[in-house]
Amino acid sequence: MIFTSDLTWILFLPVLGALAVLATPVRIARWMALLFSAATFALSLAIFIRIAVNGYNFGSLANPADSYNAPWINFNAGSFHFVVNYFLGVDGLALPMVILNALLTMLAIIGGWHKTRVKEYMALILLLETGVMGVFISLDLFLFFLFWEVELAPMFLLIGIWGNEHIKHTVFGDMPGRIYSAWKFLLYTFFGSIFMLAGILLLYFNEGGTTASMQFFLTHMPGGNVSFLGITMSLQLLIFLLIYLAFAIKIPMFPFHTWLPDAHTDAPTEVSVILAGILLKMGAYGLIRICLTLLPVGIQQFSGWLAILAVINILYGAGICLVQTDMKRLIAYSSVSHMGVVLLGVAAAAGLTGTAQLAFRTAALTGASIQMFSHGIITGLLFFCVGVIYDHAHTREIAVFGGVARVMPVLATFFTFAGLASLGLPGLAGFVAEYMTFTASFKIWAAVTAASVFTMILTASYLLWMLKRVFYGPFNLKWKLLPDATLRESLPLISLASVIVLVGIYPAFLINMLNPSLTAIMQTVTTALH
Amino acid sequence: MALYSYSWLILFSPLFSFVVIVFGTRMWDLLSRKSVEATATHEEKEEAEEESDIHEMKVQGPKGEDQTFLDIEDPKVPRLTPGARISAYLGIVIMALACIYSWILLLASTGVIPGFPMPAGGVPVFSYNWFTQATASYTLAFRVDNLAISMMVVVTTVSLLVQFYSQGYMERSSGYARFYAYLSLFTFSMLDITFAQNFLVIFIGWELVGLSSYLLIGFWINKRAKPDEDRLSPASASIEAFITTRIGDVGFIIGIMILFTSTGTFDFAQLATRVGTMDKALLTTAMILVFCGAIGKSAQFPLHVWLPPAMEGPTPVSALIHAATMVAAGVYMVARTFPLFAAAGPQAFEVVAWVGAFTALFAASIAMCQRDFKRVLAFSTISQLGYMFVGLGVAGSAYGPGPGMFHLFTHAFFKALLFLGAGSVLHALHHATHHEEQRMDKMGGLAAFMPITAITWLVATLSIAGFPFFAGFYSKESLIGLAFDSGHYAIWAVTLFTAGLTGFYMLRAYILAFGGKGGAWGGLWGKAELYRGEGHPHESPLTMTIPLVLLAIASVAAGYWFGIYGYLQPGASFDVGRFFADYKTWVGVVVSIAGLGVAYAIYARIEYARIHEYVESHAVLRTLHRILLNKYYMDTLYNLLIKYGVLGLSHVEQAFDMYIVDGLVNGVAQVITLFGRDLRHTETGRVQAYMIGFFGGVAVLAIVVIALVAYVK
Amino acid sequence: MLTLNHFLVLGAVLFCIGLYGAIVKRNAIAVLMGIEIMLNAVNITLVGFSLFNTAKPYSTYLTGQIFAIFIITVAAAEAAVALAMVISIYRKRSTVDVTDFDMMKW
Repeated sequence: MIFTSDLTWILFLPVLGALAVLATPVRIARWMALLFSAATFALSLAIFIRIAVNGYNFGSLANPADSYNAPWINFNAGSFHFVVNYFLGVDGLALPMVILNALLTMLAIIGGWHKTRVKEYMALILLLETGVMGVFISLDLFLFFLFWEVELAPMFLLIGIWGNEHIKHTVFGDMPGRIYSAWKFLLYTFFGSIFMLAGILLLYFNEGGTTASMQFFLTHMPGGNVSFLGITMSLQLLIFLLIYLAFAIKIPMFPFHTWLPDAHTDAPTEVSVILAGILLKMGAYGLIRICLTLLPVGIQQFSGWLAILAVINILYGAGICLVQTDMKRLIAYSSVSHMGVVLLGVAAAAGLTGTAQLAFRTAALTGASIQMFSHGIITGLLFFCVGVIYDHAHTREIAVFGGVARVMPVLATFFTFAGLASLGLPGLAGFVAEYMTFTASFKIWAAVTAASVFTMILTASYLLWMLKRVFYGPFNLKWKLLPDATLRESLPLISLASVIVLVGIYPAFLINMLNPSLTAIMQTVTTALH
Repeated sequence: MALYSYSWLILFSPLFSFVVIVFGTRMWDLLSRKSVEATATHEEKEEAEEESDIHEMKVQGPKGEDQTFLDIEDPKVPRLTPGARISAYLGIVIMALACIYSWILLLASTGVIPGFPMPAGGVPVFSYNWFTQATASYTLAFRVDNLAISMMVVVTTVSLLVQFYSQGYMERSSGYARFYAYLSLFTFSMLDITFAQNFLVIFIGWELVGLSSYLLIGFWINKRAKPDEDRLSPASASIEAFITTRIGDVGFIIGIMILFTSTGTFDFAQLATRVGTMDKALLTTAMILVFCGAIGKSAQFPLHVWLPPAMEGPTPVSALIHAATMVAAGVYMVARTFPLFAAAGPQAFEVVAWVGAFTALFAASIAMCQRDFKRVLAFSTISQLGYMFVGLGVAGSAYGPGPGMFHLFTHAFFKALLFLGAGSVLHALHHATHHEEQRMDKMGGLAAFMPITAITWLVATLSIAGFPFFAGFYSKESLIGLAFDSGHYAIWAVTLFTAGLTGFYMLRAYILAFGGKGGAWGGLWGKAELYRGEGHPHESPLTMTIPLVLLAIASVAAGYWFGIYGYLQPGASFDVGRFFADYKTWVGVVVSIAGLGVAYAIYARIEYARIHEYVESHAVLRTLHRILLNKYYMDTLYNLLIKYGVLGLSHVEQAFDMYIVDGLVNGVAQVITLFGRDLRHTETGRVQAYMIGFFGGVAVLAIVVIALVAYVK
Repeated sequence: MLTLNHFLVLGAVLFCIGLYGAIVKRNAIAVLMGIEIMLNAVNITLVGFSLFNTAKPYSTYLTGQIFAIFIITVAAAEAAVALAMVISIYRKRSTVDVTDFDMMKW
């Protein structure tokens, strides 16, 4: 029975929660949402603890610490097979993302306690959780694709319904910002999905078309060349490019990044948290799990470009932050910059053939994976902080504030903390990731990494400058009645801040969790390239 | 061994204070504040309000509307809560214990306490591994050795005195507990650098020092900028400090990356053995890049611009930054990586020495014309740090880091004294005038009001100027002489000339503040009538004067630790006999005294207003004065660079995003929309039109099918 | 001799007449009549096929005729609904001219 596996429960508890929320009156519904999201979070932690006490071996793709496989669709017509398995599994790479997803969803529910139409809101957030969870724990390519698409619908509605009414995008008449951004998000992602599906099908049928299990492709990598319109490239590169386009849009990679600032500006706070905290990680996760692990030859041929695109992401995103006038837009662009670090780490991991630099490449990949986690919690915290100030002041325009730390000391503390974490301060999560990625990537892509280190200056500039303009300096008396963050609003802030400190001062628990998985990936890559 | 291996207690004790204060006593302070304030008397409340120095200011908003801002210079509470007081006591007691322990370590390692020889290579105290795989390893490792102990003593001692002093200086500040928390964090960060065994740890401390300085410089969060005095708001100054030092950090980390990727380790000892196989040019580049970090943190040209604005923080913080933490970090780091610099090409040390020498002269020239009391000291620090780098750069393997560290050691005490003394003056003036006053135009003759501060300040002035038998004399003259001996004649000339300038600007500042024409001792000891400001200043409380006296003693005594050369580098030694016999020592003394004499002749013998008039009336002097007063217009240049260079580029990016990327995406959507808008006219809504289409389509299809059936087969 | 072609030609002619009526007539009733003619044209064709079906077994003989009966039934229902709509539109807009019925345009 599929219900004997805890992975099934972690996947479908939120769906049950959504049903429970819709079925109960508003007063109970909120608590229902909290209950189910907390249960999911507890379950994800339980999985972690169970594996941690059993020797702390989280396994790898070939040998995940926890998995469940059952046949689901098996359609045969002559030599044509369409096989989809209900194949779930978590290893060291996926589990941090699962925990992050569960945590942020729970906090988003606490943060959105007083939303309008709260029942629908909570239900959609829970459905979103399922969609994202599925992406992280599917080990079947078609199942992966299914969840990749499932996540879109709730997100589209969340931005489109609860989004920002006021901002108009004049390009399309008087369209409210929320509609424009929701569509932009949906169309961008769909655009990528088409190519991903093509890539997956190509991979599937090229390797016999009998199973889409990721484990199968570990040992059955496509080879040979294809010729199309006079251009010859290796089959792996073609498949990689097709699949990667979807991930590049999701990460988001320059020049596919403009949906992100718009989506963030118009999405409600908690949705922004989830969007930046988890949805972007789906792209990065896919990049490592599918592109790097299953298509090492393809990504290796592209890795030089990937490194260049990474540095563009890092510097371009950081530079553009300096002139943002809206706090959320600023943080959105900072996400572009920080996700560039993930790209850089992966580019380094995929960079060279041979075993000589293996240690550095593994370190770079580890740094990139930690960056995925730490960016999730740090940006989550930043968005929660912006949310509090927006809920109280009804504006996110940086220029209208000034010195409000006087009336909002608690929020100012957390916001400054988050800013410092984001700029990579030691002792906090961002530092571990960025330090490891940069120092190790330098071995593979020296010039590119040296250029991207300059982001240290830019990141510090835009974050501290924003904090200064909002919180410090002479106090603008216009805001003298601005209330500070309430206890409920502080809850997500406190929990995320503690996780940031935990990862910052004791990263080993995360690194050791990732290690078997990433080592196995690097081994696969190295063998494939020989 | 156990004595040394337990020294992690020193490292983590300030962190402990920080955590306890932040999560414990500061919370208590905040929660109990209301009830304690209720018990305060009416006078206390009034005084607190008056001293908080709050006023409203009208400012034009971004859209031209009128906005009212509240400028809160130094918020005070009527009465400190027990939580706040305990925060301070906790910080002080723990720091005192750490200080005692580190002095014991110093005594033990120098052999004064026999039986605890320091093993070669030091003693590891604590380590913790992040990630290790084959040839790459990320480990947090801490180690104690002689160099670390010499620095640790400075850090803990100055930190202790500063914390003790702050009880008086920060009295009734509303951020009392927060201040102590930050001070503890600052000390911890610096100790982290001190104990570092590898580049990873030193970089962590490096950044944490930046953080602490950011927090402390911006301590008065709602204070305004004062453009008429050329002063930034603390909020801006703290950002400037953080970002400017980060510019250096970029070079630092690139240097680290080169070393790491070439050798696979961050560890200093392992690096020293492995860099031999590295390409020499690459190693030299790496070390110069590493030195960039020191340029940033130790405020060397061209990244010195952050240090003068850093004066916006409370004065004890300035003392801490300038004496023991932060700026000393750069010098310490170069001393720590001395073997790596030595292994690199000679260009590495040349760069260090030349940057130091140029900065020493550059900053000293600026310091001559500054009107702000603390700013003179800021530039003097920059200048003195230049000396330390000269010391490190010219020493060579024979002397090791000794000369540079010796100057750092003595400088820590007299510079702390100078700042704490300045703080004492500012504190007195704040009480007298009820607002912040740092301009020397508004001081004068203060020795009459605050004798202890004045005399201790004079001691420090003489010490920094290199007056014979004060601490600065030994460390500075030996260092200048070393430049000559090692064949750096140009550097020798520059540093010698700078020594004269140092004497000039320090005595100038002293006389402008404490003395004046007509005072006792030929103008060195002021009279009450010479005071140019308002109100009636008083000597500061004991909590502030005790550290001054202790530091005054240290400002003399610190120079007599001649064993420091040999302590830091086995085999090196400071030859006292040769030092006194060397003519260069006395040339240096003559130059210093000449500088002091000129300052005395001008400022103690002529009224301040007349000097000012004379300079203003003389075209060359006026221009020179303006250039120096504006610090060679470096700030202006940087501001323009940021405004038009960096922000201009950002605006271009923004436009690219908006018009090119989004323009493309929205353009595609628009084209499709336009097509749809025209094509929809085919949908007339009339059923007969559809019918034509439908049957017409069927007919066409039928013809096609027939054609296919008839001809294709 | 009556052959299948006669039925088919009659059906085709009738269909074209119906189609012509349905397309060019402006009166909605006339359009409906055109549609009825088309339906019956198809019925004739079906019956013709049924009559000339020589395949065995018998059970398939009547398929065409059964279809025709179905069509008659459906046509009756269709006519009823369509007429009801026409009347309802007439009540609202006082016209049965189909060229005026363009409420559903773009």
